[in-house]
Amino acid sequence: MSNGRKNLYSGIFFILFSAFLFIESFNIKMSTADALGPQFFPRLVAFLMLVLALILIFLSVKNWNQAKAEEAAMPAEKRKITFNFPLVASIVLLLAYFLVLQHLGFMISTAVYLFCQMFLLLPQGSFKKPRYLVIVTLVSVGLSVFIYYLFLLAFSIFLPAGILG
Amino acid sequence: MDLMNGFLDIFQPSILWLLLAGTAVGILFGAIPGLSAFTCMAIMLPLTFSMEPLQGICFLLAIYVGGCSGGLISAILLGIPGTPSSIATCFDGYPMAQKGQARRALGTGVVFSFVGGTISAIVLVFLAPIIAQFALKFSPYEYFTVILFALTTVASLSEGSIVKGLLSCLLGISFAFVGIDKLSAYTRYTMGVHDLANGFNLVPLLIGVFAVSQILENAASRKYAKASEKSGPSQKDLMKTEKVKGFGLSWKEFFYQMRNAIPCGAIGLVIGILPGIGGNVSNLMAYAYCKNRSKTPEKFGTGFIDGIVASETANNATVGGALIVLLTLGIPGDNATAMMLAGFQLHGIAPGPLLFRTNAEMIYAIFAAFLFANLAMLIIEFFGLPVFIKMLSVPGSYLLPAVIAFCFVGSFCANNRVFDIFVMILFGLIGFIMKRFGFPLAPLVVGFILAPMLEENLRRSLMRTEGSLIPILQSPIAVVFLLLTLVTVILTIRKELKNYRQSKAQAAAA
Amino acid sequence: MKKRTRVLSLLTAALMTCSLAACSGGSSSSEAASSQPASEAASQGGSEASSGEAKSVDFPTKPIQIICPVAPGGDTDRNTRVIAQIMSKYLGVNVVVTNVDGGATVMGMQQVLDSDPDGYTMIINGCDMFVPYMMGTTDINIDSFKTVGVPIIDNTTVLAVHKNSGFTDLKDLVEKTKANPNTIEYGGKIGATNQICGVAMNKEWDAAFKFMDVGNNAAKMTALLGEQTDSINISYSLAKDYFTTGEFQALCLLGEGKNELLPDVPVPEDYGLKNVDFSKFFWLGVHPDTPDEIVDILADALQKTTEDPEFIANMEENYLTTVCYLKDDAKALCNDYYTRTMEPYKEEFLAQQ
Repeated sequence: MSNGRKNLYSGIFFILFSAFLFIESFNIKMSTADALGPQFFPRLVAFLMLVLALILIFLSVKNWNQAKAEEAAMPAEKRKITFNFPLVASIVLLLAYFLVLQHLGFMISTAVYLFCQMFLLLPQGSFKKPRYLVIVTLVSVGLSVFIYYLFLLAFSIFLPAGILG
Repeated sequence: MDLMNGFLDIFQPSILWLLLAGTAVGILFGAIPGLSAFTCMAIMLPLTFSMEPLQGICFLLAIYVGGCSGGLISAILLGIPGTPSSIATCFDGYPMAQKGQARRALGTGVVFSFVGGTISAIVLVFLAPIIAQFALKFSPYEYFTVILFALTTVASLSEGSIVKGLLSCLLGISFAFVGIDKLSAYTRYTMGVHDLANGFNLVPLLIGVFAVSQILENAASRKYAKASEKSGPSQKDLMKTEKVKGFGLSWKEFFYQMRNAIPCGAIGLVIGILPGIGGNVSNLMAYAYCKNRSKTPEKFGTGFIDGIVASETANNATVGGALIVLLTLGIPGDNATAMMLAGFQLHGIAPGPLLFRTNAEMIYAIFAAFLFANLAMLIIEFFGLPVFIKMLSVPGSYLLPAVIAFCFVGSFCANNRVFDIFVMILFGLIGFIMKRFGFPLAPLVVGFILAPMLEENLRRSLMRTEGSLIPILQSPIAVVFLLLTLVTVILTIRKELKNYRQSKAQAAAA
Repeated sequence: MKKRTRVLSLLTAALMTCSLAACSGGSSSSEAASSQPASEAASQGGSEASSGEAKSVDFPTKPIQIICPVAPGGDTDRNTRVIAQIMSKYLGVNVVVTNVDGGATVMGMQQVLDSDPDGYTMIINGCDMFVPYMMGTTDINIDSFKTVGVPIIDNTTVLAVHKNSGFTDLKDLVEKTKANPNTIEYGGKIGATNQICGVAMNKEWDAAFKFMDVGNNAAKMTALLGEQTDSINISYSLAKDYFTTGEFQALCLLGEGKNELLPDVPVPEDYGLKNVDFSKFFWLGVHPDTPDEIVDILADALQKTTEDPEFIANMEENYLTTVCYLKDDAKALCNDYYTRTMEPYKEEFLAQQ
């Protein structure tokens, strides 16, 4: 995407977001303690956001031709959004980590997370090489066990223990 | 003379050991993203139960000093602020490390942490009671204007487009609305989610925005990387190009940088003295100050040594400022000094004006310990430099996930809640998307930190004045800060217009 | 990373060693540094632990957490840490304080309700627990838990003014607020018990204080020191220095009756005004489904804690009263506080929000 297109899209997002801020401000419980009340700032921010978003859109539309030219000069693979497996997998992995953390506990979840994440960062195909498998397994298991016990024994911090607890 | 006695008091093996150990542990906690001096002090507080009062307090103090400085390590090497006080250190420190000047960047950070700490220590020793009285002059009116002024740093932090910087800041402010409204005790923007009743915690937000977004970035770029051993320029090679010794800083540069360090130390000190603001803000304000007055502001953010000097001097000077208020008035200015206060109380000592009269020996021993802890920090970090830099030789594919594992712990420890890990992931996504769309991240954090204080103090002021703004204008301090704000805004607008015309002229010429 | 972690472990080890060294050079007999399963603590509390086993449940066998629902650094946090330290002596395991801040103590309470009902997670709280309930923002209150006990009552809340304010005594202050209604400030934190206290003072004394949001205890002290506000309520021990120097004047104790530890502080009754009780209790509870045997063991340890001379001395230093109400007695005490000192002012309090 060219910068112009990015700005246009983010401008639209911010308009929607400011609308959300404004509408949701009506759900705030009124207070009488001070003159401004709890709705004033959110509405002010919503208004400022709207103005700035409009400026952003205005600028991007004004320079639209330039953006077009910029886009044409880009390599094809960068021009549109394509499915990026390591990125999507990393996001899914992080969310999954949060979801299972309380059930599986810190040690297991973190070890699995580290294992997967490292292979997502290592060059494609590393998974098949035994050398990498050994290193990654050792590091991910060792590190999670180490962190868990370090915090439990030395600092008395109870990381979620899960099924091992 | 009193100070000499103070030094004699702390020159016993057990205290010196504790000071060294405390500083070292503090540095480590500071260096791990998400864990800060405050976390470390909370964890270590029970250990001080069984110590002598002076031992326990020196230990906590050393952790505070170390923790405030340790943040620079991960800020420079990884681009992830180890603590909220080292956000601005990332801006120039990380680019320097990327250019193969990690040692120089770290060395500068360390030296100026020491300078900042020492400046504030000297002020602490000689002027503490006078300065403390100044802090008492600040009512909500003055706070409101100081924070308004601090918000103008957004302009300097929005590289590229100021419109985008401001939008980023407003987004940060919006996130800060979530949770309990400080002036009515009812919740806002929680959408009925109970876990949001306390709003978003700064620590997971910060780690998310800076650390998680980075691992996503790395994952995303694997697709375009060649199937070589490492993606990007090999950092091992980068390290070899750097042939510097010691701190990587010449005496000439050191003295030259004092022009930046002294005002930044003053900024850090003043912010530290004002209860409730703290190092989170002072490093950013100092950075913005140096950038604004620099003749080459465009170099900031590209790996410019002045940026590191600004941030690191200011955040360590803040420690001394916060200590002044704690020791002379018995008021904790931030959560780390609140832990110090708890440490005092556990030993039945109440810091405050009486302590100077009843136990002056203790006060001077604390001053001496503060000076010594700064020195210990300098020495430990100096010898640590080669070790820290070695970290860069660990391939990013291993290092980053390991850092994230510590981030999980850091987010959790911030308030002992699993939900905060979700907050960290959420803000990782937000940070990643914002980066992709060319929005600067620092203004988001600034907005998030400052806006609640701005709102709280403005509404408090109006509560007192029953809706009138006039009394605010009658306070001289408030007027000064309002004028400063106004001048900064006008200068920024002028600069923006000039840039706009210039780029237009260039476009026309092309 | 490996390098760094190795350094970390080394330093931790070093730290442990020197903290132990400090222990041995240290003063008191208590060695229950609650950051490690203190063997000494175990041996001290060995007999008690075995008496617990005799009750047919093997409890406790691992460290116990006390969730402190406020951030570290305040008086609740301080008291919790002292309780934890002494209790670990009698339970034979480590008792650890975990701070879960937020939502006017609701976050921490919720965390206990979400934990396993095995007695390994306790909650500490005070009068503040009733405030969100009163405001209708949560359903959680003392009935949501099983009560272990109330070990401390803090009858040290005083109404303080600055020496330059010109208020000679409580009577004078109250008269002046009547003469100039809503001009004399009473600074506190909005949505907290000290705001209810303001309501109560106005109502019971026919006074007309203007309530002003100032912030937490530290901010209240700053405001009074800087003479930005006229009066605050504060725990005596927090501002001990300023009362001693005379910079602050404690006009009256906001408690049910006189505190023997603070003989110089008058009570409103001395001026013919009704006593306004804002003393605070500290209450410990566990998950409601916790087996009674386990609650008994905890209550037993709490009772021994309140009899511990070291504990009593530590509390007295801060003018706090050590008491021992267990289980249902404690619960009745807390509920009595609520109906007596908070509920009557509910409407006015909510109207001020």
